[in-house]
Amino acid sequence: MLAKFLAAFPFKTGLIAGLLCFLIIEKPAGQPLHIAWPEADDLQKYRTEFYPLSAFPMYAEFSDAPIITFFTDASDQPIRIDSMTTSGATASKKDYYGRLKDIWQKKKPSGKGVKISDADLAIKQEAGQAALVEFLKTRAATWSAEHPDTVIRLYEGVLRLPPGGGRAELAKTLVAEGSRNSLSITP
Amino acid sequence: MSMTSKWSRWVHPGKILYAAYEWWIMRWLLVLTLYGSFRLAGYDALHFATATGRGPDFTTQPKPRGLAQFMDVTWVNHPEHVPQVAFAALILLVLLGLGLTPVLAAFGLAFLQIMIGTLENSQGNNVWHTSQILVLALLGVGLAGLAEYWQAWRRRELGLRMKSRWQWLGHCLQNPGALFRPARTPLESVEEKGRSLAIYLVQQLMATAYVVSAISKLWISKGQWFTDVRFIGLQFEKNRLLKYYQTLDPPAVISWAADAVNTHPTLACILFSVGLFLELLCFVALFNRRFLALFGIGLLVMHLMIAQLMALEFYYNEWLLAIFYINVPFWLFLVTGKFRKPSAA
Repeated sequence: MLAKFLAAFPFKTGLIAGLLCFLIIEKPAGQPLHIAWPEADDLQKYRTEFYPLSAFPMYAEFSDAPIITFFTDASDQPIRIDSMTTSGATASKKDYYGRLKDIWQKKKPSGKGVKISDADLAIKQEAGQAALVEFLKTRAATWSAEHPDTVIRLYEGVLRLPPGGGRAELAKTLVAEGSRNSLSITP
Repeated sequence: MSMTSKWSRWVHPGKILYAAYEWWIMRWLLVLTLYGSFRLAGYDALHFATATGRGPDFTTQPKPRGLAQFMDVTWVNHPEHVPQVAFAALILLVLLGLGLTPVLAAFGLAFLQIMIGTLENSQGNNVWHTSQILVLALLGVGLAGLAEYWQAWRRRELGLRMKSRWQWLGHCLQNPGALFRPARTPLESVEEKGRSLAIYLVQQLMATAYVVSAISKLWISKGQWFTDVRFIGLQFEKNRLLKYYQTLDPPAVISWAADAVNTHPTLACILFSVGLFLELLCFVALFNRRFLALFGIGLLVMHLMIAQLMALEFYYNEWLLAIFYINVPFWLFLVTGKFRKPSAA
């Protein structure tokens, strides 16, 4: 009976591929293979990512305070991200935001309604510093090698709606600053 | 008319027979789209000797994801290997276009795409899905070829089936009329079944990508997606700013749309909920050619709207929807009466 049903079921390939998209398949160095079914949080943390199989959706969470990042020079003039890396601005934002979420999970104050966008400056700076180091070390490795003493600033921007709607307002926070040499980044 | 036959008029996933001309056009359009994808990643197949790859910033895999956990994928961006990868892509693209070795060509191209995508996804807290749908399409073609060979092997006709691909190429050149009519000879019949399965698996895996995305949205938001979508205007603004900081050029994004949606959130809820249902029910598209075209147009409009409003482009999704779902050549031939449909439309 089951065999007959399976034979007649027309979406077998899609169903198998769909289930594989949702599996966490991880093999940390020196540890055994770990295969598991995810929690909702795992989907957000890219734990189900196994290119091209992916359960990470675009726009799953619509925050009332979404976060962006951007870079400026030491005098706060914005720097074109494409002059430093071939990765997009979204990649830098996701890198910072991913780190911020990890630190936020460990250090967030207890209580209901506390949001990541309201995290303490210290938490944001911890995430920002790590993201800036990673950026100069990997995505912008060539640029930072050519400009080892050029100080850049990483800003976080939180977008919020004013009461009653209308144009969103951007609140900026400096979360990291440094150059390849001042941050002691080695290839 | 019985209930079963009423259903079967509309619901026959996997039973649509495609004409040879459809598969030739689909395959070459897929080849062109893949060529564009390789070129964009730095592996220009036509200029393989001067291909640059992903550049010097992608020489490590600091946060291995997917296959990078099991193997070093940085080789694909090693300066010595980049021209070789681009050349291999060229050969495989030609083979895929000619349809001579679908399993080798499709899985070979999928492998190269997976290496490039996995390297990108192993750079840090970021994931990249731009060409995901292309890899899924290639897996569909490859799996269909494997399924065919498996069946031929069970009938002890594997050698014959592999040889018949060359015969089919000659047959198409000698009898161009065979491209436009339902199968008449055993060779035409085998080819018709093979290509119809390949197209169906590509369509099915594309639908899977959309359904998975929709389920994830609902899962992550614990069902609150429908109420939270009222904040979509902030996402528009977020993407507009990200696009701006990328180049410091004023982005071609409609900022009034963000303001309008912020002021009229119900409108956003309706528009985006329609999009979510199109994704969630995408498998329904596979029921027949009309649904394929309708869902294809619906999803294409959704992508174009997102591109306009959020500066988020999904070129490959748009192309593949146009090629494999909307399938303009079929409808043109049908409307102009040049081609008798090979199966229920």
